[in-house]
Amino acid sequence: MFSLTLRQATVVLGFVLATWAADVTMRAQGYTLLEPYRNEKRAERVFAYLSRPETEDVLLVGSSRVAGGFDARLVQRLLSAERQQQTSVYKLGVAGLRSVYLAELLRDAIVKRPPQERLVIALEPRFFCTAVRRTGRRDAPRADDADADALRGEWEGEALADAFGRRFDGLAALWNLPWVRTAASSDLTTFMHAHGGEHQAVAARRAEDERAARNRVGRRDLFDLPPNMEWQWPAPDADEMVAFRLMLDLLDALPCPVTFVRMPLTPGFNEEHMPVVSPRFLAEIVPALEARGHDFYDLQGAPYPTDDRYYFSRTHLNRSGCEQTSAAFVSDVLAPLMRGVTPPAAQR
Amino acid sequence: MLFNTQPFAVFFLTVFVGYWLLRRTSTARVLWLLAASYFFYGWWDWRFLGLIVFSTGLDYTIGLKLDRSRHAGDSSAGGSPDSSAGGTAGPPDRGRKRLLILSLVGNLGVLGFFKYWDFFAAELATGLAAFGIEAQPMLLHLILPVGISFYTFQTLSYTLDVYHGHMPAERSLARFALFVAFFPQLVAGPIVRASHFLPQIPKTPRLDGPGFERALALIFWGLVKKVVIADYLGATLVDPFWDQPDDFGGSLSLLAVYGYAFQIYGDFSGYSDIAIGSAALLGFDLGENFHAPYRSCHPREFWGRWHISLSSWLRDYLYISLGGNRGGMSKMYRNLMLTMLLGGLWHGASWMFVAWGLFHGLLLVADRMLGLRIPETATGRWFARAVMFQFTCLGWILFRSADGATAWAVLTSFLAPLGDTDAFSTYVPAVLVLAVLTHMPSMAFKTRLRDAFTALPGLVQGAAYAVLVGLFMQVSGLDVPFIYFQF
Repeated sequence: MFSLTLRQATVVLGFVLATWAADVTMRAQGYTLLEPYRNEKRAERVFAYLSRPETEDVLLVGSSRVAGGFDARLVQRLLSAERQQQTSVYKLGVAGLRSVYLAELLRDAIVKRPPQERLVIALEPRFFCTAVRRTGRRDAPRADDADADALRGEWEGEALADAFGRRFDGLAALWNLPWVRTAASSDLTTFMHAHGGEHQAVAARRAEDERAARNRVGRRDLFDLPPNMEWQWPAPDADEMVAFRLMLDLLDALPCPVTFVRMPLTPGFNEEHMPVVSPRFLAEIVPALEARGHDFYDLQGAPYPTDDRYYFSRTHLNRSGCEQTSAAFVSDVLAPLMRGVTPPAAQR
Repeated sequence: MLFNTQPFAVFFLTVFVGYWLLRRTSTARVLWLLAASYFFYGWWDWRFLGLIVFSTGLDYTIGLKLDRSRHAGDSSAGGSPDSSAGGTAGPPDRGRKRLLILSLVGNLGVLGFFKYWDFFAAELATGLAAFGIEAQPMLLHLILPVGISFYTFQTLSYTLDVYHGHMPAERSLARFALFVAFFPQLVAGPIVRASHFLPQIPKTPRLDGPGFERALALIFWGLVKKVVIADYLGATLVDPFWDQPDDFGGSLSLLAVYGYAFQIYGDFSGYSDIAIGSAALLGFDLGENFHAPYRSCHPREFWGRWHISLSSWLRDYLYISLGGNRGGMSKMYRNLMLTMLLGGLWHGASWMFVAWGLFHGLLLVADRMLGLRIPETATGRWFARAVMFQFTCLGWILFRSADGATAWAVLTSFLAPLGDTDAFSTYVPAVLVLAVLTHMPSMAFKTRLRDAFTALPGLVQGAAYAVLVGLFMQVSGLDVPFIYFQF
């Protein structure tokens, strides 16, 4: 027997009306452009980075592979222990990062307040190429890993939010109002409040850039890569290569040394998708880095995770893989570099 | 899909609408729910649907055979072949025992294989190495299917109940399959008894206005406990503390451990509330799984309030099967220790879970030895609750720590000087206070609060839920899955 009455319908109506009212009012104020807190996974972290009162000693920059592949807190602890001095580490992992966006990040944020001691940038062949997508199989995240759904859930949530026209963003934005703001509100919000009316234009541009970057990559890029993708390495005058050269010029102006790395991927993914672009990356990108005096370390192969059980998708580490990668990176590369010693595992 | 995600909201809305449209046709609504449940489970990993189907088929078949053989036994002994009211068991016979053993081996074998193979293989290799024998552990790196611990116990309870004649076997495969796979409680409980759930399926479901509002309130309260309390405390206080206990020290360490107590409670009871509320919206009653456990005055009371569906399962199918209270005090203590040891192991392949189970076993033994009772005065009760809470938190240290060294580091941090952690931002104490204030009042008070809320005008209730959704969206960026999913 289904005997709901008008009263229950008003509960639903109340929900709908409140959602609509929040959407209208918060959108008019620009608050819906303020993203809720994400653990260093979203592009707006650049503003959180800018709004921090202090600069860090080491900055880790990269795509979602850095967001989920380095544990900044663990890196900080291990590095401080190795150096026997407190060393602050900050992670700027931007989902969907590519060459163009990386250059923008450097230009708009990192060059203006560089890290004190070292900048680490995780480059990927994917930054520089495009691929023709066809329908393909789905890599099911591992159900046993506590973090399995973390990134996937975010993408699914974002796709659904887009499908609903982001109508629920107003509800989240309520908690960003100055007199309501919760601890979950990002530093971005603090920055926006502190800079008054600037926030609308700036946040709008950033939101557009981030969404465009995400759309260029496509959420399917993270999970659905068909076996016979056609990877296309860009022409020298393509945006990706122009941005790469701009990035190198920008890095010349940095007061701190820069180290480049390539994050681990599953062997299966490497064998299937990287045979064409990986050699191009190693032949064209890496020498360009070294010509400018930057080191490059390829974190593929031991002691970095090579077993599928350290990954929650074919291209993203799970919690265990993140911890292993962080620890190995500190002991093999970062700590020696910061002691002024060439790492024993200096490799290409 | 996690309960606190948008995909689940869309999924549940779809299932809810379809279910109530099909409510008049028993077969259609059962198949609709079954398909939804398999879809829900397959969302995690479609490869493990085969396991749940195997478990379903095995116990459905064994249940029918047990029922037939019991009736055959009744007939040969002069009993009525139509006696299917679940009365006394038929005469035990080897055939029925073999069927039961087949069910136990089949179900526990699958559970043991996926959950414990690597653990025991590694321990065996370590043990052999201690005797100087070099052995390469045969690790299979198996993925643990989500929810296997829960649905395995659920189907086993069915087989055992049919074996003992406590209930007749379910004739309908679809209904039985729904009992096993019902999505609200599939991946993390409550562990529902067949005798409680199966009779509900063929009945025409009922959902009235007050029931709808109570179910919604329960779901949203579960989300508050999970997202606002548990996830927040986990990400901002508990994880940093367990990463580096020395950064805290003294009373800060104690508060962090208290934080974990409310994190695991909020996480697990929050999930249970969402499961129970979701089932209620579909016209099903799953019973209660948590009853303010930190209001317990002694260990026995705690296990009557914490994870009730598991503790009652362990009591009815393990403790009593081992002999229970019979055979003298020493046998009772042995049975208690064994039950809690296995209960600890059920939580995961780790000696720390075993240690936690043994710890609670010792508490229960001490409870029996001392004959602990609920104090008569309010002051006495609050004092007993405070003491019991400290012991519970001591157990949580074992439960949360990855190994003995971590547990020791946590314990010794209580004696360390206060550290300079920045974990105690403004909101952490506030959330801790919220957790305590919403847990410790009596059930009657909480029921009055809930009724006061559901008495509010519908528009106000709806608006309140909308504001909460916004808060969930804010806080859920912390991306913390349910703790009990790893079981």
